[in-house]
Amino acid sequence: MLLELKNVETYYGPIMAIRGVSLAVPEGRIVAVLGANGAGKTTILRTISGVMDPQKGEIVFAGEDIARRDPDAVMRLGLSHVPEGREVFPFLSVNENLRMGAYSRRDRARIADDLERVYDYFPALADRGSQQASQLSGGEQQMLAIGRALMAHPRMLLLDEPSLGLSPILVHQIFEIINRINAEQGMTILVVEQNAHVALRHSHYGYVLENGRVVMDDTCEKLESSPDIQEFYLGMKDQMPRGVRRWKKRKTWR
Amino acid sequence: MGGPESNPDLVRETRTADDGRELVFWRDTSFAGTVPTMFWSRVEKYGDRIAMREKDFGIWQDVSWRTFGEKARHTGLALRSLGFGKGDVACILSNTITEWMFADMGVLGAGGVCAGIYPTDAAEQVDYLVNDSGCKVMFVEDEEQLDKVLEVREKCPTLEQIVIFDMEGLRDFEDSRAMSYDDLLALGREQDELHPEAWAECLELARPEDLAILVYTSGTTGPPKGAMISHHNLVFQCVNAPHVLSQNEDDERMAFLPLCHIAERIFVYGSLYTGTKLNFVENPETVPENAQEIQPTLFFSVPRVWEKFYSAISIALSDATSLQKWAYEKAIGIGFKRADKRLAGEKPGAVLELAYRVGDALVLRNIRRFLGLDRCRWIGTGAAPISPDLIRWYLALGIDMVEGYGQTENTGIASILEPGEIRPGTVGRSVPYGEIRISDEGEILIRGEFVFMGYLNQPEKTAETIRDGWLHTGDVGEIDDDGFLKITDRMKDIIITAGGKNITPSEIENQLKFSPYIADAVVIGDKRKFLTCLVMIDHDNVVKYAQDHHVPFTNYQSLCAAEKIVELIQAEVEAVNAKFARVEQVKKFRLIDQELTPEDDELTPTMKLKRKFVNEKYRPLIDSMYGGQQA
Amino acid sequence: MRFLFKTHYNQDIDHLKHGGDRFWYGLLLVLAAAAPAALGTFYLGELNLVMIYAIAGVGLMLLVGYTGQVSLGHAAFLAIGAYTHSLLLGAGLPFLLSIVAAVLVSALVGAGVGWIALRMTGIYLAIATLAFAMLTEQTISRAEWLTGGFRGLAVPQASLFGMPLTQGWQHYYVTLTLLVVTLLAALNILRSSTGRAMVAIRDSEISAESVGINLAVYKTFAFALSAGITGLAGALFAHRLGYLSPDAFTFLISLQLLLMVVVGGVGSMRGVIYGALFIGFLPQLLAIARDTLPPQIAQAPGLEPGIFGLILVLVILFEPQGIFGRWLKIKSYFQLFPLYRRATHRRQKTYLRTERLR
Repeated sequence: MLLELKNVETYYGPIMAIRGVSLAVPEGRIVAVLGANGAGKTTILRTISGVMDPQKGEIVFAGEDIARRDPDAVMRLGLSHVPEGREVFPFLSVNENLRMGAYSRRDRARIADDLERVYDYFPALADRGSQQASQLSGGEQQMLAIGRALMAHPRMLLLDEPSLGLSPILVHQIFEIINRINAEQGMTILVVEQNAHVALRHSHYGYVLENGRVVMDDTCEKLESSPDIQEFYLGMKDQMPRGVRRWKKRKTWR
Repeated sequence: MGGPESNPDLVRETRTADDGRELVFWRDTSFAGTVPTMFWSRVEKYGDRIAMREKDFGIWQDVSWRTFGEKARHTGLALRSLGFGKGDVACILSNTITEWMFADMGVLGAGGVCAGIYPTDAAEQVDYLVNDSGCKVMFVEDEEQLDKVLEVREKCPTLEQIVIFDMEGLRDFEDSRAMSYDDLLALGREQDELHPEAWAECLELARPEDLAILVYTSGTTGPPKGAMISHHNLVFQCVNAPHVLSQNEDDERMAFLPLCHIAERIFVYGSLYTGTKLNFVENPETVPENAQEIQPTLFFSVPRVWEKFYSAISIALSDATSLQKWAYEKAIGIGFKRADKRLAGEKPGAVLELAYRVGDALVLRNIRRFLGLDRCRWIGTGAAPISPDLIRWYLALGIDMVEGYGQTENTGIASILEPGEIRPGTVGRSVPYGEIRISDEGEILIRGEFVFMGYLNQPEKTAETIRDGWLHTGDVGEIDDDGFLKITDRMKDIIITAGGKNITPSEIENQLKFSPYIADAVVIGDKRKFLTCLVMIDHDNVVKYAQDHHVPFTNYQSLCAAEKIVELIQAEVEAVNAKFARVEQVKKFRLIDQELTPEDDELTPTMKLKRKFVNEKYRPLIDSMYGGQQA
Repeated sequence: MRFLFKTHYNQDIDHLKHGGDRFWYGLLLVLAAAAPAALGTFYLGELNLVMIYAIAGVGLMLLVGYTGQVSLGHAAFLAIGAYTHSLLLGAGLPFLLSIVAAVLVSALVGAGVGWIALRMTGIYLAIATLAFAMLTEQTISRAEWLTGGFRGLAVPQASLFGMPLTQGWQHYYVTLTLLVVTLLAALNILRSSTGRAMVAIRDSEISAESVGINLAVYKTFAFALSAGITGLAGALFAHRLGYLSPDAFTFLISLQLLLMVVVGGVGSMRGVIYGALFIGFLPQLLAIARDTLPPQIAQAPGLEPGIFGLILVLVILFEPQGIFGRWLKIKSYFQLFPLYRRATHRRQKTYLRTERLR
């Protein structure tokens, strides 16, 4: 297990956002965390990368406890966070953004290699190398953000809602690239997503979060065939005498 | 003892029972002895006073007696115009909301019979109940309940009309045999304008000895049985109960338990009689918050709710600072000492009393306010066994908790502890208007004017239950020298081990339930060599424990499978075992690793595990505890 | 522990929400009214000063705490109010009319400042208000024909309803009444749609505009309101001073006002009262500090502003919600005892720009 969370509790002031979450990400796999708005998914990633501190619990990355460290220390250990909403540097060019991703590195030659590899994954970026990042479209900014994270040559990527605000085709493209990165480089990836369809199709293992707690975890195939997931996350409802059922059944997570 | 204000219409009668006890009955002559006339006399008496409140859109909206009466009147008149006649059955499939009461009073006022159905019942159960009762009109709460009825409508020939309270999501719904409640009321209003005298005539249709309501008791052996309860049964309880469990028109109650269960039904009718205000909660999940807002002056509920309050406090305390924890320990310790003195009938000394006052002001009062129980004159528990230690905790907290005993078949309470004479572990003395005795087999028998009329369509079962004028409860118990009744267990539940020993599982289960980590338990051992147990954990408390002790877990199943959690429950079981003889000790246990809801067969709507279902559904798991052997 | 049983939506905006509130504030009012009987002249005078500061604080709080606009020059409005009132009183206008005129003149000037500063935010607005304050100070000292410049202006005797206001307690009651009236007026404005518009501007100007709030109108109004109320404080301050000169309204005073608002607790009227009490006792605290510090530091020029600045920084770092915030935490601890959760008021680090700025 490259990353393990044990009994993490994080608060926003008096409100408990994460109430005791434990999860594990094996090396080289893609793990998805699903949940609706407010379930606590982004909070988990922020807690892992050190932007927020957990009140209780441990976070172990490659054998080290990173629970209350500062984000830059966590990042230097090899954990790269692509935040929600991209957060590219708007006044720097695409090239400069990517170079900033390699800020903490010293090995010049390898940086150049990585830059080429990022442009290979994201050809759209290569065309706009000197364009200002704020002028890119949403999809290109997402690619830039992921590329920037890759430039740090991390051991693990944390992706926060990569599909947010993107068109379906673009979402598909980006997830295909994510799969490529995982397959070719053996990169471990923890992706947090609202779009359950896409997340389940492109990941190996999934955790479902509700109200700050894990309610279900299993391989993605089993999750896709669970009736509760189908109804509440994949939008499939059964037919009833009056037509498609509109009211919600109680969740049983079996 | 409090009671309704002295009033010339109340007549007191006495009689001597066979055992020499003096029986006291009250009769109210201001109305004709039926539920609708009782209700209507209150409508006329209270007029614009608030009858109920319901939380809607963030504020508590009130309903006056006048409005309540009007809605009932229009419901009843509309039903009559649809061909609903005297003795016809209407069913209500809904959570506890004000419309339930409007419909209920409307149906009864029209001379009909009202049967409640649990909103957690599945469509097949609805099918059975509609057919068994011969239901003509079905009131449903919303589209979810409507769908259940629509699924089985073709199999219910007697069902003529469906009335829907909440039309959300049904804008495009058209059906010749279904209408919205608003439309029904509009129909009733029309009828009222055309025939203003009709309602008064309707109210005279029902006679005290007529069937008023049907309460279906959950069948553990076979399908549910419809208990037939007459107007007189209900009015008798309503008029007499306030003399042992005081209620008056200044009281505020919270209504949230299902109205299809006799406990809530008779208490609500009792509140109608005494003019107590009913506050309906927003929805079943907001009960704790609503209790905090309402701060009711009386509270009656099932043990599960009292256990949940207790766990809420223990969880909240575990996050408090050490000073607070210390303060609580000290205050509750003093509370326990004082409660013990009161239970023993002694007066607490001046020092203890002073210490208690201090602890009360600093600590205990806030805890009561947090639960919403600060204004309660008394709180009551019933309908299921409760741990005596839990009662003591409430007494230590400064609130008198009384336990009552009764069945659907006797329309409410048959025995009750009174504040001031509390003996935890017993269910009190027989009410002064009824009789209790123990049969030669040890069965508890009840007699009185509140005993029901019998089971609908089941004459053999009725004949088994009411014999020689006594109601055979199916519970085993003892009466001590002071007349206090102690319930041992249900006759059918008593376990006889392979070694021939009689075990009362309730005792062991009660002790287990007192643990904050155990929500419910079923002890198994009939015809087995030793006792085992299936445990349902209290999710919130166990999660807290896991968090505090760094036990990682993901979903409910993984929580139950965690080694430290099994050890935790092991420790709790062993703690309980220490209180019992060797042959009564639980040797092995397993955790039920799914989160159960009242929609599952294993749980009753009051969140109790059904012994028989659990035994059947978990047979392989149980057998595995006995080394794979079957009983 | 208290829970509100809400039966009307208006209960949300009641000033006194429940019996406890009514009791304690009623008691406070009674004690305040009875103060002259119990306190000697000196302490009565100090309390009077505190109340004058409180009125000024209400004005500044409306601008800074509720509309989110910075002002480092509010002493100017104090000055305008004081001078206007004194001049008009000297010209023969009755007391009340003169006060009203002082308020109006202040408000008008405030509206002008607000109008000019419409497009400025943050540090630029602060500089603009500072510049305005200096401008006012210079104007007052140069316009000798009107204000008497550095020679000063004597504040004429006031008389209310034919009775000359010579005694301390008379001034005290006038101030007390005006403070209560001002507080009520401010609280009522805040719970009206105007007040909500002001708060909306503080929280997010873009969102406020998108729901139809005209930023220009409300910002100008906020400045005018704030200036008017501070002008009222200035008029009362004039009587306290007895003799007006420009160096009674320096930048230090502006800083003290800001300190009052921040230390008291930004965003609450009760914070104003706490802040006013704090400022009222500040001279004593400074005197003690002077005694304990070594002479080189104690006699250094600029010690006062330095200490004010230090207090401001410390409050912002450790208790950004001020005395009122700390009081709320203490109150909630006792109210929730023993169920007060340890993490109730814990703050998280904020890294994202979107979280810090609005």
